[in-house]
Amino acid sequence: MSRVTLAVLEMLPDPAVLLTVDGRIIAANKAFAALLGSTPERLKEHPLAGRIGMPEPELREITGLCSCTSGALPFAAHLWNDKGEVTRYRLQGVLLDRGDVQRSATLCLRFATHARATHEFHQLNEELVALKTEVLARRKAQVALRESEYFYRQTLDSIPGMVFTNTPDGACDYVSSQWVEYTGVPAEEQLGSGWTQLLHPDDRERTFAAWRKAVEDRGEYDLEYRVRRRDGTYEWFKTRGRAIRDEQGSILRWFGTAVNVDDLKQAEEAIAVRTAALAEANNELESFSYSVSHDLRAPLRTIDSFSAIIEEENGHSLDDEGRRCLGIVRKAATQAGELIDDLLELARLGRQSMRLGPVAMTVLAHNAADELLRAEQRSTLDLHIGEMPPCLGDARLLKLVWANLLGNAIKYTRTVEAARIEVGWLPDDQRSDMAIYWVKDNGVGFNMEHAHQLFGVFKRLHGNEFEGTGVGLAIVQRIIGRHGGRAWAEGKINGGATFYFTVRKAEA
Amino acid sequence: MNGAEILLVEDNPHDEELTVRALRRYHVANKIHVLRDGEEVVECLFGAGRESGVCANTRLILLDLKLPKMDGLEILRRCKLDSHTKHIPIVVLTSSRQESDLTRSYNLGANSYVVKPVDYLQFNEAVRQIGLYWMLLNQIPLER
Repeated sequence: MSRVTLAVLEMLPDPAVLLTVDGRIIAANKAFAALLGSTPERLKEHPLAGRIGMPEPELREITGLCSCTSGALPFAAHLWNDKGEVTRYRLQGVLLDRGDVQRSATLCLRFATHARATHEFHQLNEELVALKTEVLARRKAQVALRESEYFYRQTLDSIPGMVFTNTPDGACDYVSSQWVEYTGVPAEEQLGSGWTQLLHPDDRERTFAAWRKAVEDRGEYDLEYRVRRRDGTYEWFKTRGRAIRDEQGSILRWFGTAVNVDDLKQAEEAIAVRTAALAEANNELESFSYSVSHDLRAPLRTIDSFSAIIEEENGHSLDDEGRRCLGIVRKAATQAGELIDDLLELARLGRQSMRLGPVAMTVLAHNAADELLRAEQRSTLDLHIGEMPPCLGDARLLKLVWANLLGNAIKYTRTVEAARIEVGWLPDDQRSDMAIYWVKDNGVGFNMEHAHQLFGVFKRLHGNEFEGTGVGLAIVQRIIGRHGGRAWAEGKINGGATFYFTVRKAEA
Repeated sequence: MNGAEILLVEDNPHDEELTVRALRRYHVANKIHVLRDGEEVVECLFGAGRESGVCANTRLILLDLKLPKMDGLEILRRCKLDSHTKHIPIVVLTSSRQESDLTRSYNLGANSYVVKPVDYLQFNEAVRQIGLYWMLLNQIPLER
């Protein structure tokens, strides 16, 4: 113990004692010795432990409490003097030397010169308990804070992205270790607005302006820019910043993350190039189908029409064979015309953008059937359309599906005595969000061995006894495919056919 | 050319013949004037032809889209912008089913858009209906 300390101790008018946490007296002044009816020298030979009785806290706890504060703390204690008399005292404790709080800490206790009443003693005791609780809670909070800070720092430094924070005015005040690692530039050079020097020159102005704007608007920001790596190359980062606000809504800090999106960006560029190429191919296809629709149709019209004119105007000078041949020419021209129309339709389906919405399938099937039946004029056809759930799709396209499937059903039941066509639906066991719609007929059917060919372009399972271009089911397939559904068929020769397709159900 | 009631803008001689035959067959017009490319149309409607009063007499223009020198859409645009010709009904009669042609035609002010059927009977029926509607039923302002 320093001589200064001992001198100060001696000069104190009040009784005071220096002791270790386990109660060994290091020094005591005369006033203290007098209090106990002893001398300082004699006191040093006896531990105070037996003479000083703390009401609630032990000496250790006093030491612990004192270690939490730099000032003096009030305590109460009773003290036995040499004659064995007990007196209650109020005392103040100061921790002089922290050392090991549990073992070697040095405590100075200064006693009030006058004894206090018992009730004051108890009051002090309560204060002390409250103080102890508060100090313990504060210590606990300190530990928790340290732990959470550690946790955050660990987190920030271990996530794959990079993290930074900015003061409310926008100056950077923290960059995570990944930034330093990635850029090779020390954190202190990146703080403030230093980070902008690491941006690609082409992105710098744009990024800084957007960032300043976000700060002024006090909003959020999402930016993409290139950052210089330690090897001098630049890579794309996606940055997102959010303001952390206090309860009043003022910005305390900006918290930002940046993720390396260079691979993504390069993939995007590759996609853009490919998309452009596709668009060009699409344009070519567009002009091709334009030519097809215009240039092929015109000569077909010529063939058909002028054959018809021969029929009309010179029919009388032709024999039956001549008229038959002319009929064949006309029919072929008409068929080729229909084929062109169907093929163009098929090509158009692939390109057209989808207009998705809830579609009332029952109504749509009825509409399609009505249009077909108007041209059909068959009295024996029994068509039943059941109630079906609405689906999510493009109504124009789905109507084509119904038109094609119902058209087929009507066509392939023409040779049947009591033709019956049914339309209905089933839940899809494989996907609960889809519905299976079906069209069932009792027509000529088909051989299941060829079922896989049904939906191919120009694939026809029937010959010329039924008209058709062989494109209808390909159109169905393409439309359903674009809706993310499936289309298939079941049938047997002379046993009817059922065509199924799935579409996503509309939200109820 | 004076007093032609229908201007048929068509470069395909076969289609031209079929259209004229059909119009005559159904007696929808006495005077049909055929123009075979864009330049002829410009000359007729905006050039020398204008003096001869062709604009005042024309009650219908049947317009093909794919034409030499100036395409049908450009002719359509010019006709609908000009105060002398903008009231003349223009029916686009084309082989094109392209959605883009349809949209652009209507955007430019076409009065009707008909795809030429390949089938002879359907073609005749289409021309007959066009003629009946636009020449007999439809009214256009006299003062132009």
